Amino acid sequence: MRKADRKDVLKKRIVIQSIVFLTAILIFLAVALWMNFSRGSTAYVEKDEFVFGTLVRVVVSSEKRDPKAIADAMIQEMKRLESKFHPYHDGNSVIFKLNHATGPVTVDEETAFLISKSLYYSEITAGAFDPALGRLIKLWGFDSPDTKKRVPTSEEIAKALESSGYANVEIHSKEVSLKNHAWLDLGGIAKGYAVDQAVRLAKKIDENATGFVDAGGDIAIIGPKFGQFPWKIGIRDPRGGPQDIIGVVYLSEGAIATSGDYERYFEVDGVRYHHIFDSKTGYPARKSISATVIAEKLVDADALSTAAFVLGWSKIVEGFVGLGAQAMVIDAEGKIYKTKGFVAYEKE
Amino acid sequence: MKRNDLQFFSRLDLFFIVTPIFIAFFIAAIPQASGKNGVVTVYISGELVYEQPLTRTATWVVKSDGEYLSTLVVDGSKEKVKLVDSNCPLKICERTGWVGIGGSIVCVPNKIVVKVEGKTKASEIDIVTW
Repeated sequence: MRKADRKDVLKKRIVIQSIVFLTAILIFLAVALWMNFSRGSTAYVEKDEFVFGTLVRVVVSSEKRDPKAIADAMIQEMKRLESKFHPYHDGNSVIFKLNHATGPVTVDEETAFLISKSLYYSEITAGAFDPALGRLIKLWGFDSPDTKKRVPTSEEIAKALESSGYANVEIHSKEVSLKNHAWLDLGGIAKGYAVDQAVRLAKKIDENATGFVDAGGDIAIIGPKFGQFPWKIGIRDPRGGPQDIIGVVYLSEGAIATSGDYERYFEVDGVRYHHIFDSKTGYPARKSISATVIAEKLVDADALSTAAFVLGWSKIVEGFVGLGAQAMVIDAEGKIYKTKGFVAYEKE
Repeated sequence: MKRNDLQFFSRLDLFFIVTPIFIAFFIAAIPQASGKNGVVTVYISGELVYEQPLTRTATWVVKSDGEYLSTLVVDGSKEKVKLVDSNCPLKICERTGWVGIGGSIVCVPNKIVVKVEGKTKASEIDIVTW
């Protein structure tokens, strides 16, 4: 080969190689940047709304449908159920009508389902979860954020207890009767049910939608983070600040709810009176300061976390495992108890 | 022509291919920046009514239709915010205390949401159950 030909070949080779190398570098850099920044840029839409007396945050992403439209639909569904199950506001509330009826009332299938579910949880938790404490809740002023809170007299509490308790609720098919002027307040379960229904709606619109609903700390997962990672959920330290965490769990599906004595409460003479009542005493439950439950559905986690808070760490709470739920309870001294399966959620 | 001159891939070529792969994996592995750049936003009934950088110390009176609702304090040096006073009955928002990036203060009766937004590390908590 002549010397000039050899130079030409070398030149061409250098040009081709340079193009190949530069292309390779650009492709790899582009892939690297995409891998890094796509983690935070997936189109999650966030919508906040006050529903069920708390701030509900919907965080949702969908590749098939407009995530904003999904979030709007979810909020509307929760508002529908808030209005339907509000115990103290008239309007379209089925529960308000029931509470003010003088005889049996025939309710729709959805209401019958939720009342039956409430009574089921009342029975298996020996009344620790009780949907018929409306009179007591109103007496203490926890029926609305605007109502003045006060410590009632023991006579007033005894009288309210006569008209309280799930034993006063009877349901036969869709016919519901309330005895002894009892009032239903499904606050400990209706929010969980409403969030579950909103998540069901999101999945109906797009089965691959991902995200979560955070209803005042009660959380239901729509789907894994970016479609593949578990959501990292902090459990608030009941005696710390709002950003202080006492534990972490990872959920790609399912729900988690916490009941605590540190949010809705008032103090008189240095004593804290919170909003979760012991149906046996008529006073705020004192056996624990925080109870967290993980379950497949928020309706279950919601009811069981209330029950676990009232019961404190006990055989009944340990038995939640048989219902497919896991629990963590912090007692009044700050000691932490967990069901065996709870720790499985603490690993990513 | 020497044999090496006509070989398409030499050791140096391999170096140029392998190096970008390593750089790519390195970049992919970098956690997202935890840059502060915090912003305080205040919403009343879902409507944005106030916004300021987290680094600027300020006191802002939250009003709606001329009615006093609460007082917000931003401590720029600590990059935290607090509702120091509120006309709501339970004062849950006041008791929330100081919150930093990623936190929020909610006043349900007044429908106020104070958010402290800013970039957080990918490894941080996504949601808090309480």
